[in-house]
Amino acid sequence: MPVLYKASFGYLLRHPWQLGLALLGICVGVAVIVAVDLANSSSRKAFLLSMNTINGEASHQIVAGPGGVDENLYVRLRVEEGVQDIAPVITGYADVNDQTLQVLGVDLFAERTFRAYTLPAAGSSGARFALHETTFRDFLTKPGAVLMSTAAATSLGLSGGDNFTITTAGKDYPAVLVGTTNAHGSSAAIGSLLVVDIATAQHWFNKVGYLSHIDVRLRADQDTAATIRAALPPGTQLLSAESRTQSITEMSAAFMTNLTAMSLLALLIGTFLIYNSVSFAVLQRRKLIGVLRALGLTRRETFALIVAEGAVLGLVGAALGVVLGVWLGEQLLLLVSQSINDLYFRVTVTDVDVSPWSLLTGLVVGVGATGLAAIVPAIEAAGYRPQLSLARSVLEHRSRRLLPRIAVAGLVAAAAALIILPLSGTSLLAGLTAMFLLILGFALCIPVIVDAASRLSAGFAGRLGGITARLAVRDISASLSRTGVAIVALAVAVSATVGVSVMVDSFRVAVSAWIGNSLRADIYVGVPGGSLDLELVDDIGHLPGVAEISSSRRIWLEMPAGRTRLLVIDRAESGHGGTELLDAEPEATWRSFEEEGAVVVSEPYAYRNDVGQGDTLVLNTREGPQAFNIAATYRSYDANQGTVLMSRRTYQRHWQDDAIDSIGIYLAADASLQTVMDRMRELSQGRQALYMRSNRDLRDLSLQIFDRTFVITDVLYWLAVGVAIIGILGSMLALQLERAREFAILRAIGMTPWQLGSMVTLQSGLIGLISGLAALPLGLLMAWVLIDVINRRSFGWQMDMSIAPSFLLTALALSTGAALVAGLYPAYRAASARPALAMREE
Amino acid sequence: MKKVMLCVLLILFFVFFNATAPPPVAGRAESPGFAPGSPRLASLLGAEGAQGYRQALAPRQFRFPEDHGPHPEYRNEWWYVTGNLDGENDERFGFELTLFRFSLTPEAAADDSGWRSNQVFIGHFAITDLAANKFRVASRYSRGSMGLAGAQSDPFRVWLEDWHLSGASVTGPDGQVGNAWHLRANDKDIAIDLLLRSRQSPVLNGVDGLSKKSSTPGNASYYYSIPRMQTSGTLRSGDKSYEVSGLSWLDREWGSGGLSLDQQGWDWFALQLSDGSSLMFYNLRKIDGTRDEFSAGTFIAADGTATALSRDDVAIDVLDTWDSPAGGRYPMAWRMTIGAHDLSLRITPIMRGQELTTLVRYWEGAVDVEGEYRDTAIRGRGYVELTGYAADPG
Repeated sequence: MPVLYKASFGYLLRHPWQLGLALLGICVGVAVIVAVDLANSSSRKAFLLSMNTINGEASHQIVAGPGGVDENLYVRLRVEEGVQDIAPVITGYADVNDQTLQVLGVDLFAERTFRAYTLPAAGSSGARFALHETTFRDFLTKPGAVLMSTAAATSLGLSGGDNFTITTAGKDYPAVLVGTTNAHGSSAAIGSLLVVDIATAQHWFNKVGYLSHIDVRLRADQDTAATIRAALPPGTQLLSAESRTQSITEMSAAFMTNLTAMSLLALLIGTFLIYNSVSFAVLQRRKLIGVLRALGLTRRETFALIVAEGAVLGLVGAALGVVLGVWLGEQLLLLVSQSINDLYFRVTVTDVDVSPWSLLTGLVVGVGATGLAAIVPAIEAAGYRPQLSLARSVLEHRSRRLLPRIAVAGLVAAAAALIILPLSGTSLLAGLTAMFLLILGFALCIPVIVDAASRLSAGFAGRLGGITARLAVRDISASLSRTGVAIVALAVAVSATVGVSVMVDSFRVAVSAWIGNSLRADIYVGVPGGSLDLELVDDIGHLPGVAEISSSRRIWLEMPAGRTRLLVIDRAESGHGGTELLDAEPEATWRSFEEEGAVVVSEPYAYRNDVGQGDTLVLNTREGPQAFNIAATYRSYDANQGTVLMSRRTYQRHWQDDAIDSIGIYLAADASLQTVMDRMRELSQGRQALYMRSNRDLRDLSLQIFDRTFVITDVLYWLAVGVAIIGILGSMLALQLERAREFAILRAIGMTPWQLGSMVTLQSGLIGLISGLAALPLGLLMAWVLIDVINRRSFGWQMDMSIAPSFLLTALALSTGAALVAGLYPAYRAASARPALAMREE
Repeated sequence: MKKVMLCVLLILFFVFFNATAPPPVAGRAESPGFAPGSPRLASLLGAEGAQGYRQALAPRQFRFPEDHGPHPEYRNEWWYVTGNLDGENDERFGFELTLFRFSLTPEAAADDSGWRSNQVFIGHFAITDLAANKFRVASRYSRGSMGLAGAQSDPFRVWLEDWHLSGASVTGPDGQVGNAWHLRANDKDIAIDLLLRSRQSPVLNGVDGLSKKSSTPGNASYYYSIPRMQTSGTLRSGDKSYEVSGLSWLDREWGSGGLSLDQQGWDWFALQLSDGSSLMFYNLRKIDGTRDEFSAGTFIAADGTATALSRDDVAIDVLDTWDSPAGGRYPMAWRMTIGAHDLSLRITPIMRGQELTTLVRYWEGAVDVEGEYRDTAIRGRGYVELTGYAADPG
C-alpha cells in the first residue's frame, strides 16, 4: 500500500468514532434500501411463484364472469372440437384447523400437460405417507378426497387416511387425506396447497356446473386458439395467463414504489452523513494535506486520495449495510406482506428471498452515494495550497463564500421540481423525482438561512444568556462548514417525519370520515371467502328487530386490458347518503343508477381511467361486452385500482348471478343490537358460520387495517431519524475534538467546566432547534407533495390536508431533543478535558 | 381373457405413470420397471380387488345389439377394433382403435357434481403406414362422466372425447337399410373415419361366450368377436389423406376377474383368410416358458360355423425374432398348424416396428398370412398382439 494511503487510513483508524459513524450512516442507508427491496421482491416473487405453480404449464386461460366458466364448454371443446391440452380448474381457499390453505380442484386425466405435482406421489420405502394403490382410485371416487404435500400434512398434523374437516364460506365439509402430491421442485409454493378432484371442489365452493377457469396450453404450431375462440360463448374469453397474473401484481405496484421511495429517503440522509464525515476527515487533515501538497502531491493525486477514502468507506459501509439489510428485510417482510394481504391479493411469504440482484443494487447505490458525497470534499482538498498550514478561518471564509452559490443551486433544483410537477401528468416516477428535487433544493438553502439566523440572533442570545449563549449561537455560523451538513441532515430527516405524519394523518382523517359516512348499517354480515346462503339471508330479513337489509357482492371482471372491480349493491333506504357523490346531484344519479342501469365509479377509478360523469365504460357481461353510463364519481378510499358501483338489479340483468357476499342490517328503532345478533347466530347454527360485525367493530377494524398499512412507513422514517441523530452526534464530537484548543483557551481565561459544557450543550440544542424550524416548512411542503402528487398519482385518492399542530411541535421537540442528547457526550468531554494538556498539543 | 390383463395393466400403469411422471417440461413419459406378478399388481387383482363386482361365472344369454353397449357392473370391458386397409393406389395400412372401460369401484358415489365418476376410459389408436414405414400411436384417458367419455347401448355409442365407435345405419346399393359401425379417431398425425359393416352375427368365443382363463371361478370373461367387417372410409397418415377399404375385426370382452400370477404374457392372433374363414387364437405364456393350458381360440369357417380351439389343437413355432430398440425380444414370424382342420399358416408382420410405447409397452401389428388349407393354397391378413416381452415397459 502506498505510503499516502497508509497515512490516510492510519488517520481514519486513529479516529475510530468518526470512522464508525461514517460507516454506520452508509450502512443504515444501504440496509434500508436493501431491506425494502428484499421485502418487496420477496412478496412479489412469492405471489408469482404461487400463481405460476397454480397455472403450471398453462399459457392461456379461459375465463368468464363472476360465476365462472360453464363446465359444458370444457366438454364441448374436448369432445366436439377435439381440443387437447386443456384442463378444468377450480381454485379457492379453505380453512383447516385455523390454517387457510389454497385448494386446487383438478381433473387428474387432464393434468399431465399442466401440473405434474398434482399427481399422487409413489410410496417409497420409509416414506411417512406411503401411497397405496388405492390413492388414485380414492382420489377420483371418494367425495372429499385430498392430496397435499408432505409438509402441509405434517403442519396440519395429518397422516394418510386421516379424516378431517375443512371450512369454506362458513360451511364445514368432511375431507380425507388419501395421499401426498408429487412435489418435484417448487415444493415451497405447493406447501400449502390442497389438491382435490374437480367434483369435490365444485361441491366445496358451491360451483356445481362451473369451473373457475380452463387452463389452455397453446403451441405455436397449432391453430387451437382460433378453434377455442370460435367456440366461446359471449362473456367468456381466452386470456394470456401471464397477463392475468401481471394485472394482479400491478395492483400493488404503486404501493411498492412508495416503499422504495421511502427507502431512498433514508439513503439520502445517509449520504449527507457520509458527506459530513468525509468533509471532517478532510478538514481535520488540512495541515497534513497542505504538507503533502508542499512535498509534491499533485491536485489530481489529492483528489484521488480523498475519493478513494470515500469509496473504501462506502464499500465497507455498504457491505455491512447489505448484511444488516437482509436482517432488516426479514423484519419488514411481515409488514409488507401483511399490507399486501390487507389491500391487494393473498400472498403467503415466510422467507426473504435474498436475490443477489437486490444485494448488488444496495452495494452499488451505497458505494455510488459515498463516492458522490466524497467528491465535494475531494475537490476542496485538491484546492489546498501547498503550504504548511491553512488557517481554519480561511476555510470557514471560503465555505461561507460558497453558501450563496449552494443556495442558488438549491433554488434551481426546487424550481425544476415545480416545473416537472405540472408537466408530468400522472407519472408517479416524475412525482417522486420532483419530491426529491424539492427536498434537495430546500436542503441546499438551509445553510444560508442558518448563517443568517445565527448572526442575527447572536446579539439577542447574548443579552438573554450572557457570553456563553452568545458564543454558542455565533459559533454555529462561524463553524458552518462542519455544523451545516449536520443541520441539513437532521432537517431533512425531521421534515420527512413532518411530511409523512401530516400526510398519514390527513389520510386517516379523510378515511375515518369516509368510513363513518359509508358504514350506515348497524350490523354487517358475511362469510370469509364465499357467498351467503340466500335462504339464510331471507330468514335474517324476517327476524324481529330487523328493519331493512342492504346487500353487496364484490367481483372481478376480466378484460384483455386488465381487471375491473365491480361492487354490486342493493341499497337500503336508511343507507342513502352513505355514498358521497363528487360530481353529480344525488337524486338524479341514484334514480338512473337504480332504474336506467347506470353505474357510479370510485374516484380512483375515474382518475386512473380518466373518466367521469357523463362518460361510458365497457364491461364484459354474460352476453359479451356492454357499455354502461357513468352517472357520477363517488369518494372512496377502499381500493386504489378503483371500483365500479352497480345496482343489484342491473347486475342481475346482465350477469344472471344472484349471489350475495355480505349484507348490512338496519335495526328497527326499538331493537337491541345484541338481541338481533344472538338471533342471527341461532338462525345460522348448523347452516353457515357467519362473520358478524357491529358498525362500531367494523369501523375500528377498518382503521386498524389502515394503521397497519402505515406501520411500515413509521418504521422507515424512524430509521431515517436514527441516521440523522447519528449525524448530529458525529458532528458535535468532531467539533468538540477540533476545538479542543479553543476550549482550553476559554478554560484558561476563566470559563468553568460547567459553563463550557453548557455552551456545547446549548449549541447542540440550538442546532437541533434550527434544524427543526427549517424542517417545518420543508415538511409541510413534503406533505403537500405526498398528498396532492404522490398519493394521487399512486392511488388516485384525493383528500384535504389537515395539519395537527401537535405534529409540528413534536417535530421541533424531536429535533431539539435529539440534538441535545447527541450533544451531551461531547459537552461532557469538552468540560472534562484538561486545558493544559490540550494547549500543550500546539 | 388375455386382454383383461392388458386393461388392468393399463390402469395400473396409468396410476404408476402418474406417480412417477417427471415435470411436464421434461415431456417424456417414463415408467419404472414392472413385472407382472409384483405385489402391487396382485393387491389390486386379488380377491379383494374384484369384490363387489359381478363375476363372469356361467355362460349367459347374449342379446344384440344390447350387449354391444356397456356392462358397468363388471370391472373391465373393451371394444377392440383392428384392421387391414388398402388405399386407392394399393397403399397398405393397418389400424388399431381400442376403447377400454374400467370401474374403479363397484358403485359410484352419489355427488351433486356431474364430474364424480367411478368409470375410467382409456383409448389406444395406432396406424401402420407401410409405404411411409411409419407406425404412429396416440393414447387418451378420461373419466366416464360429463360426456367426456362413456358408453351406451341405445343408440350404440362408445366414445372418449372425440374418438368414437357408434352405431350407424347405412343404405346399401340395393336400397336396403342396414346396420353399421362408425369409427372415428384422430390425433396430430393420424386420423381415421371408417364405416364398418358385417352380415355375420357375432361369434361367441370359449364356451357359449364364457372365456375361462384359469380354474378359479370368476377368472373368466364374456367374449365375442365380429371377425370380418367390410370397412371403407378415409385415413390420414402424416399430411396425406387416403380413401381406404378393407377388413376389420371387432373383439368385445368384459368381466371382473383378475389374472393368474404365473402368466408372463400372451400372443393373440386374429386372422382373416382368403376363403372367407377366420381364426382367433390366444396363446398364454407362463413365466416358466410353457404354454398355459387355458390358451384357447375359435375357428370360424366361411359359412360362419365356429369351432372352439384348445391349447393342444394348435401348434405354434416361432420363425424369427425382433429386438425392440426400447429393449426386449419379440417373436416376429410364426408357423401355426391346426391339424384337426388341416390348416398350416405362415404368419409374417408387414412391418416389424409396430410396438406401442405407450404406458404399457406391447406389440400390436398388421400381419400377412400364407399357407395351405386342405392342400389348397390360402392367403390372408390379420392382427397379432404380443405382450410380456418387454421386461421394462415404456
